[in-house]
Amino acid sequence: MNERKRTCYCGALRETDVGKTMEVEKIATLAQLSLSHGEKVTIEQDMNAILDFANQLLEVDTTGIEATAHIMPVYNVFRTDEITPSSHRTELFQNAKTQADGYITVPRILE
Amino acid sequence: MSALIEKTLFELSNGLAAKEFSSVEVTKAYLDAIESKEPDVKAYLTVDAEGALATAKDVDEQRMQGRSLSPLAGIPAGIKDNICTRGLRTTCASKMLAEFRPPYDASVIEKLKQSSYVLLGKLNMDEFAMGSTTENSYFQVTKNPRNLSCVPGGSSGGSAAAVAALEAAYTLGSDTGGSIRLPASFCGVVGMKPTYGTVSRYGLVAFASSLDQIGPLTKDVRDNAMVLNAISGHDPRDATSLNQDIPDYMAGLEKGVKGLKIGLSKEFFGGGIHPEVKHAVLTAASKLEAQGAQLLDVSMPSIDHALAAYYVISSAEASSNLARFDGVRYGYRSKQFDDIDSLYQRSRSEGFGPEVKRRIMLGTFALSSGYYDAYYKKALQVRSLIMKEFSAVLETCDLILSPVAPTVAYRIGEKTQNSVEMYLGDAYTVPVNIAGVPALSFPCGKDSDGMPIGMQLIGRHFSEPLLYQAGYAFEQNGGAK
Repeated sequence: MNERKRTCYCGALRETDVGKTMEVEKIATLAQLSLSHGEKVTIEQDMNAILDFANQLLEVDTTGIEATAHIMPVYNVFRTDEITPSSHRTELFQNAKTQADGYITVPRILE
Repeated sequence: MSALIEKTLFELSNGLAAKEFSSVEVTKAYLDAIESKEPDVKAYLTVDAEGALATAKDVDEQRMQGRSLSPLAGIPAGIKDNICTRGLRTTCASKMLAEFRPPYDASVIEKLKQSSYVLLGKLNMDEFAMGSTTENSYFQVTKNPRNLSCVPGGSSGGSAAAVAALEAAYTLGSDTGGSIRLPASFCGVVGMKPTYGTVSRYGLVAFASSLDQIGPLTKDVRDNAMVLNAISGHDPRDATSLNQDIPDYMAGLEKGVKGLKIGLSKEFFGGGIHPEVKHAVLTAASKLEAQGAQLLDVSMPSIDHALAAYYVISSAEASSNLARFDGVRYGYRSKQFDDIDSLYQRSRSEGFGPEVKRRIMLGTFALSSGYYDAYYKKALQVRSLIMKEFSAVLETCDLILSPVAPTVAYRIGEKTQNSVEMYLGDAYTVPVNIAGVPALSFPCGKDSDGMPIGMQLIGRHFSEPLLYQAGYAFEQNGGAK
């Protein structure tokens, strides 16, 4: 049980590979979040509690049950490919923090 | 003129049509109410007095010219701050969008504008609609107008409090897991979560797209039907919106409940329900029986898993939807970054509050490699089971009656420390979103401290007219008194 502290969601692993544990840090990287130490501790505790609760799902027999995509039998929705007016550039750019020559600027991506 | 704010939407509509008073007078009365009550209630994040009065004046002029106007014309409303209003700050009660001015209107706003509505301002909520108390707002904590030391419920807490405090004739909220019905119950007003796909989500800032639905909060049942008439309908810009004929939701109000079969499920009365809530809802059920409805005991065992499925599905969808907030095109941008990745990470980490981060983390986990099948897919399968159960039960009865929440409004700060306990408060509302069916929340009594108790009527897909019919019958025959 000493492992439980370091590798969270032990209870979650009944149907998955027990050797592959997911740590808060790695999930935060996937979610593009940089969390403080305090936040990591709190979120780990909260997620363990929530996942303990969610683990009841693993006990439900869902053999042969389809996953729901929409509550109604709605399938692909198509429209004709026509040019229609869209928002004004100046109005769209009002919410951008930095811009130059009609483009939104970001830090250099390629060296 | 203070009596104007006490009038229902229906009465205001008739009074305006008969030129008993003007839209400017009604709008001024609501703006005065906002000015006097907001220091206590804190329902609004933005008030647009100038815009409201200009629209009101314009509508009055149109009326003087004898133009044909919508029943909502010239009547002031408040809008939840996750519904885009062109040019008017739309924050989702988040630091992330604190300065965001949408370049377009949500479809519901376009429809209300076509009805010549008057927009008073934007209403407080839990950040990105994640919460049950409105305490998760970045800006302020909204108080329950029935007792200022209590929460108004959430996430549409501002929308419910504004109606209860007579700070708007009606409001719009959004309901992903109970966010219209729970605050309606806590504040003693009427709230409708329509069938998924009835009201366009275009311009509603997405939380969990397969569950989100916009709906009205009003003083009474008839007003609610009036507002739903104005905002529902197919919208090609929302691919999940349903191409259905929209009925007149007010047409069958007077039909009563005689012969209707109303189901009561024990699963909706478990999980630590307060005895006073249970008593009030069962008393209301016998009142409906006395009016000619037939009560049936039904069983819905899969409801017990709805909350777990909900938190997996809604968090997974939220983690995906909220990936767009990256500090680049709009929204908060951190001042400290070295490269594009740190720009993303710092902007998101500084811009989102704790509950939003918690749900993004939970959702990212549920969607990550090795856990997707165990959690996300499993939750969607459980969702199918719950939908089947609703369909089966709603073949044997016309409506299901349940409490909205296990308790009345509790004190501010009382449940903020325990996420799971807070989530359990949504146990009765969440199954409705999971099944995509409509539900009407309305007051059915008060507890010994005088706090409102709410109940909900749940129906088949597109049964909103029947929900209004039954709710109206209850209200007209003594209601919550």
